[in-house]
Amino acid sequence: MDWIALWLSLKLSFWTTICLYLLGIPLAYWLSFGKKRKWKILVDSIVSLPLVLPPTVLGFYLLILFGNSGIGTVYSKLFGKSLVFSFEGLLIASIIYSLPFMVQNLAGAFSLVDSKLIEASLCCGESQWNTFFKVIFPLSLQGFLRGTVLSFTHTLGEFGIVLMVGGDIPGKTRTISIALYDQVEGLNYQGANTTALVLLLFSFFVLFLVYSTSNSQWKRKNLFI
Amino acid sequence: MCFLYFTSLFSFFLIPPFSVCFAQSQKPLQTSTLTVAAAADLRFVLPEIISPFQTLNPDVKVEVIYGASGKFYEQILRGAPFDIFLSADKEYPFLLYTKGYVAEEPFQYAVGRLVLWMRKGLFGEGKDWKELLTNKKVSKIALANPLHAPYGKAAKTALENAGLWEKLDSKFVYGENVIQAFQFAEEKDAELAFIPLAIALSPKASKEGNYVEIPLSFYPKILQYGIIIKKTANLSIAKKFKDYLLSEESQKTLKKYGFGP
Repeated sequence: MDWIALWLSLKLSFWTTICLYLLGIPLAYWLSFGKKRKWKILVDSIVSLPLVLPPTVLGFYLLILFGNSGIGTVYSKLFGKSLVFSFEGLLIASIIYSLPFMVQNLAGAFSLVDSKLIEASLCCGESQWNTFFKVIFPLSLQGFLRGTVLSFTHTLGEFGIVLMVGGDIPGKTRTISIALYDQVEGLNYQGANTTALVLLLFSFFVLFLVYSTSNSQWKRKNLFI
Repeated sequence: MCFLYFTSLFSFFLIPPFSVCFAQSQKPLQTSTLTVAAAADLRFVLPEIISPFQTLNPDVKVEVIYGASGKFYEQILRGAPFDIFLSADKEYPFLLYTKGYVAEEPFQYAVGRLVLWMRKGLFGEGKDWKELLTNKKVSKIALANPLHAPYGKAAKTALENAGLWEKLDSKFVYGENVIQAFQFAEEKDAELAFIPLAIALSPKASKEGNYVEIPLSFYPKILQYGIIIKKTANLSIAKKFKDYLLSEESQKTLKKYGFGP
């Protein structure tokens, strides 16, 4: 078991989830309460692209963007190091890659909040901020939970983009899924077995917890029996 | 109950920030890390060279990444933080040298051999390699991608020189590197695989199969060169490693794995 790789993956997933909160909450808020329908369709399609795009397409564009011509140059001038083969580069890639998992879950939960409650809060003179924190947020906890967990675990299982942008450098960009690939490449099937099993159990455990908090679909079924 | 779920779920996200302090306080202070990008054919021999090197230099940590040489070449052009690059050919190190990515002139550390590997009992012993390739039992032949893997290139050249490249075209399957080509044959997805002798002599491969050497007249010698990357922050350690790789002891280990003149 490659603990350094596991640790790196957890760190990457953690920071990705934090950044996705900062980016995803305003975006989801605008998608569910905003007025401009045409723009919303456009933004929604762009946000959801990573769900259907092959990771290699995203990886390729990010490589070009991070390279000598795009934001990579700006970044290396500012911080003195390159974005490719670095943790920061991986973080940006993961944020883009996991964005739909956060935004779709949040937007879905926001739009399920009863608009009468929001209007009541606004009519009582509460500000939009307060309405968000006191009404919308508590009523969409389920969406937050799903968004958080799915972004976290999706980043943990990310492979193609990491391989293209990160380049398998131990301790810096060798995440747990790459370490597994490396173990298979090195014909170390025993090690690969352990790593795969740990990932499988972790993912199952997390999904089990999430779905056990949201078993509404089973309740509905019981109605008809 | 609901509270319990939420706390256990969110506790996942609290692990990393807490262990930051823990992990950093545990790191020993004066070790420097040497990152080596090595051609996939060194997968089994290099650990045997690195472990005595580390006993001699306990303050150095050697990290190795294995892959196809052409991939590493691309990555070095894009600024990958490697200290040493051990290629499976001569071309990539010299290309990097002329482009100014190299600290000092490339050094030759080994000469590789190409073999045709098959699982035990699949074909009779002592057959010619061309006979094996045209055998009716063969439905797939694995080789590393000739576009960026030197041993794949060598296999392609050998096949072309034998006049078999176009004839067998539909049977080829390409691995990302030589190890993957070997895995195709090992996992019965292919009957034959072009791999380096160094991999055919590894414990797993020699236990499960046997090999036929491709005669040297069919492909150019695979001269394996290495370089020290110009950007390295550990130039003195990198030089030490290079000297150790070229030492008599390491060369003996390389010879054991089929590298030779």
